[in-house]
This record gives sequence, structure tokens and C-alpha cells, in this order.
Amino acid sequence: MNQDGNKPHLTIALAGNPNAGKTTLFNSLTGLNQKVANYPGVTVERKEGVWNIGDRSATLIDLPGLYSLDATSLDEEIARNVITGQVENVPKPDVIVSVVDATNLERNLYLSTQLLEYGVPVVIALTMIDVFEKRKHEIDIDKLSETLGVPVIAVNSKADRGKDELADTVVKIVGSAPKLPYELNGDSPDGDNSRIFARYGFISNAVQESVRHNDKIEHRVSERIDRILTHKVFGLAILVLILLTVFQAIFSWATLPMDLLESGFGALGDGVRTLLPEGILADLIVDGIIAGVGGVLVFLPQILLLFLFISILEDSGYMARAAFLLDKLMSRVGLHGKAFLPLMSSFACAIPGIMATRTIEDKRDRFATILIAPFMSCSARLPVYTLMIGAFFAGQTVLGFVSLGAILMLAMYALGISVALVVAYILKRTILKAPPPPFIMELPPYRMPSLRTVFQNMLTRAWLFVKRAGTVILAISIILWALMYFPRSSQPTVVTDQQTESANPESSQLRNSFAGKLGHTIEPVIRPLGFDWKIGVALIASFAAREVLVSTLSIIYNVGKDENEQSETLISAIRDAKDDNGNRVWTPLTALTLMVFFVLAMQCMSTIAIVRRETNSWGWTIFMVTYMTGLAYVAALITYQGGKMLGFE
Amino acid sequence: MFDLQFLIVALLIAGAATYAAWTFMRKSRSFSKKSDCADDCGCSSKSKTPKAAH
Repeated sequence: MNQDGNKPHLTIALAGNPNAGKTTLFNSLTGLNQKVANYPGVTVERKEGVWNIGDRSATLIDLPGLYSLDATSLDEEIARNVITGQVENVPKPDVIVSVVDATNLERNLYLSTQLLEYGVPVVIALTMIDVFEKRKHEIDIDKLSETLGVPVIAVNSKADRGKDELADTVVKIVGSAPKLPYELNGDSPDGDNSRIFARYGFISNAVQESVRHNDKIEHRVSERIDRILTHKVFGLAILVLILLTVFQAIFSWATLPMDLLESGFGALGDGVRTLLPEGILADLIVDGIIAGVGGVLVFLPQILLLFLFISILEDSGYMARAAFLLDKLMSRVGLHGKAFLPLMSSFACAIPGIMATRTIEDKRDRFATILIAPFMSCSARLPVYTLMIGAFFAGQTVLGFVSLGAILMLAMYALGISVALVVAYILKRTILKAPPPPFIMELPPYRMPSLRTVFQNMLTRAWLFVKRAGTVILAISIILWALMYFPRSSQPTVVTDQQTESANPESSQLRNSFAGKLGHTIEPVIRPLGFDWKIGVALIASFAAREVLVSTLSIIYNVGKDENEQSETLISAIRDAKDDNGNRVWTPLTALTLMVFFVLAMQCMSTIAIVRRETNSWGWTIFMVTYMTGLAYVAALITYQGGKMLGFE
Repeated sequence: MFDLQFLIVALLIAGAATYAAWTFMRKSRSFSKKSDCADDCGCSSKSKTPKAAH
């Protein structure tokens, strides 16, 4: 022990990967006696505590959770500065306790080897040892310590195992200089890459020599499956096949409950009409509330099925393999590896997805992810896609057995992803230029999905959908009904003459209502997309929330219906709708155009609000709404006009 | 004519409009500028203002 070994007060840094058990150990060593502040000038949390080691006291600094010290993120840069004593008011550590998760040795030891290169004494605290032993694995701690050239102590904070030994070791190694157990060829032409290979090569040997895994067969099987599922050709083909199967199942399995729900809401409307005296109240309840809310709620079975499949794929470990496949593609366009999770979350809803971008350190990477997250087809788009597919493409198959609806649905999801990648590519090479940082992705083991987790996830999402239908959609439905119901007109007025009226079975009430006038005002803009004024009204309303399109169309075709017309489903109302000249308003091409518009347009008030909050900038928010709406318009225009030129209707 | 049906409908419309306006106001709070966040830094969970250690 040299002079430093007798220092009365020590500074000890605690470093480790996220989720390695660092905080548990920190709390256990300091007895929750800690101070939390920020590192000067940045938002990175600085946690310090007092660790009493015998008759000495030490300041224990909990470094941010890290995978490496490559300084590609702010956390890594700060950790590196703390270790080298370059942070103001933070003394250079006397010892580093490297917290290593025993169940993830190879990944965790990468950081430990980097710590050794800084010349500060290191002791390895092996956590999760109880889980490791429960899995019947064996580890020769002395051998590992000998290979690494540093003390290794197995600790279990809950059982108080190894704490005293760790304290003794820390005191013992103060002032010593660690000897690097492998050679670094930093000057070689490979530069940093050769260092990475040297570290991994050394770690692999060290683990092989000291650890005996007793799940080799399972490991081998898992590796073989991974080789196929993450293969750039087979993996992608399997992903497409799985998604096609999921969409096909959603369409076929949901048909019966959806039909039942639709009949149920129809019967409810008829029942209300019978019970209530004819008049404005019955009109509001049947044509506004039941048609609006019911029109959206009939899609509940599909939402349930979609989330059932997503939960199964997630819980089985497959989703991580899909992430690995797409990560290669994402890194090619310049997106950060950490962008995958926010983008995945955005398939359910863009709001949690955008909030999840907080894990991305670099502002440019984070903003690029925020700006493309709404392209992922969220669950609110599902009713729109399903309505269009159900009305114009239902029952059609490709190759005799693949549902055209499932293919179209897959195509819409693929369109969103493709456009997002292209936009990211452009953004990362222009206004958000930054090199993509390296990213290590961990593949979780395969397992049987837990029924409890799967159903819990599915029901949580379903409840959100129902809650939204019962609150926001209900309120918007009532307001829209009022806009379509007032002002009351008994005679055809300025907009239509008697001739047109006789050719058109729709009531003059709707066209002369507030909503009707608004729709006619914007009709010239949307006409080139093949949309009439009624679709225009639905498009405006759906800027509040995407699924409002369905409820609005449902109200429009209910309010616009002649009094002696029989109640019909929304799908048949859409199929039969005629314009002023007696031509069909909706064709398969119109439906496809509307779906394309919905994939790309920014029609969600909540998402706009969250983008404003997360970027803290009106500029970026307006930029996003403008470019997405512009892109949606152009893509819809190309789809409609291109389709017409090719002879489609 | 202000009959009972009309009154109920008017109340329902007013309720829906109030709820929609309240929801919009709540959302619009997210639109307002946060004083403890610097421009374009994002207001994730922490203020950007440096804090000294205790």
C-alpha cells in the first residue's frame, strides 16, 4: 500500500451497465444516505452517498448507467471525465467499483475492461449472483479474478453477501495501479476497432475459462433460431409472413364479433327510435351518439386482436429479433439504434413513442426520431384502414388464399415505415446532420408468452380505446351532429336546385348545414384527390383524432339519409353514396387514396401537443405538421391521379 | 320552439362543447413555453439549469 492507501477520506466511483444492480448496491452501501444533484451545466443526474468502511468514510459516486466509455453520449463523456478527475468539485476516484451483472458477463465486462485502461484501481462487484446460481450456472471467481487481474467479489445486497469483503478489498487496493491483462494496438491502422476486438477477444476467453453454463442445449437451439430469424433475407421474409398472418387473422377472426356489434348498435338505434317520440332528441341519440360512438366501437374486436398478437410477439422474444433486423436498415439511414423502441411504441400510439425518445442522448438523433414517429401506423388508423378495406376489398384473395385486405394492411404499415426511413435519411443528411453512434442490442431469451402479461397488455390498450370512444369521440360526435343538423332547412336552397335535388337522394339539410358549407368550401382543394365535400368534412374533423373520420362518416351518412330510408351499415352507405351527378363518390381507388393520406398525414392533436412539449419549439412542431400534411397530399394526389391514368377506378 | 327535447339537446351540445374546450385547454398547456427549459433542448424530466451539489 502506498501513501494513498492511508488517505482518511476516499472517493469511490460506482460504474456499471444499466440494470446491472448498481442502484441496489449503492443504496445498500450508503444506507440510502445520499445526495442527488446534477453535474454542472447538464441534466445528467449526480448521485453521491457516504459509505462507511471501518473507521474511514468514503464518498461513493454513482456514475450514470453505461455500456461503454466511448464518449458517444453525454453520460459516457461525464463518466469518463469523473474517472479522469476533470469534473469541477468532484475529486478523481481512488477506486472504481465496477458493477457487473453475472447473468450478462460478456456485455458487462466490456465496460470493466475499459475502466482498467484508465489506470485507476478497479474491483469488480459481481451482482445478480443469486439469479446466476439459480440457473445452475457455475463460476470460478478466483479464476476470473486471476484472468482479469483485478479482485472480483460476489455480492448480494438483499442477503448482505460480500459487502464486508468488498469494503476490505477497496481499502486494500487504494493506491495500486492495475495492470492491463491484454494488449491494446491503438496505433494499428484499425485504430479504435482493433481495441474493441482486443477487449472482446480477451473477455470471451476470460468468461470461457471461468464460467460453466449448464444451459448449453437451450443456448444452442436459441442461437440456431436466431440465425434464421435475424437473417437479412429469411428473417425479413419470416417477418413479412408473420405480419401477413396477423393481419389475415385480424380480418377473419374479427368479422363475426364486428358484425354482431354492428347489428347491436343498429338494433339499439332502432330501439331508441321506437321508444322516444320523433324529434330532435331521438335524432341526436341515434344519428349523432349511436352512429358516431358505435361507428368507432365496432372496431374493438380488431383492436383487441391486434394487441393480442403484438403482446404475444413481444413476450415471446420475437419482437427483439425483428428490432435487430430493422436496426440494420435504420442505421443505414442514420437513425440511432435507440430509435427502434420509440418507433415500435408508436405502432400503438405516437405519444408514448415520442416520449420514449428521451433515452436518445443526441438532440439531432432525438429530433429525427420524433419527426418520423407519427408515420408508424398507430391503432387509431386501424378503423380507417379496416373501413376502407371492408367496403371495397373484402373477400378478395391473392393466389387464392392470401386475403387482399391483409396485403393492403401490410402495405400501409410498410408505406409508413418506408417513408419514415426516407425522411430520416434526408433529415440526417441535411438539417439534423450527425453521425449515427454505435449501439449494442441485447436479444432476450425465447420463452412461452405469459398469458397474464399478454391479456393485461391487450386489455389495457382496449380500455384506452373504449375510454376514448366514450369521451373525446362522444363529445366530437355530438358537436359534429349539431354542425350537420343546424341550421334547419325544409326547402332546397342556394346550393342545390330542384333538378339536382331530384337526381341526388341525399337530403338538402346536410349540404346546407354548417358542416356542409365548410365541406363545400374546401372541396376544390381535395377534389384532385377524388374526395367530395363529405369526405372533406370528415378529414377536417379527423384532425382532432384519426378515428373521428369513421364516426364523422357514420354521422354524415345517417344525417344525410332520407327519412324513409332503411338503416344500413356504414360500409354499404359508403359503397352506395352518389354525388350530385349520380356518380359513385367512393371507388376502390378513392379508398386506397384515403388510406395513403391517412398513413402520412399528421392528424392528431395530442401528438402535436406532445411534439411541442418534447422539442420545446414551435418551429419544429409547425415544420412537422406542414411537411407531413404536404407529403400526405402529394402522395394521395399521385395515388389517385396515377391510378386513374393506369385505368383504375 | 323551446320544448323539453330541444332543451336536453342544447344541454348535451353545450356539455360536449365544454368538454372539448376543456380538453383542448388542457392540451394547449403542453403548447405553452416552459420557463425551465432552454430552447430546443426538450423538456424531458429535468431542467437544463445547472444545480450545485448539496
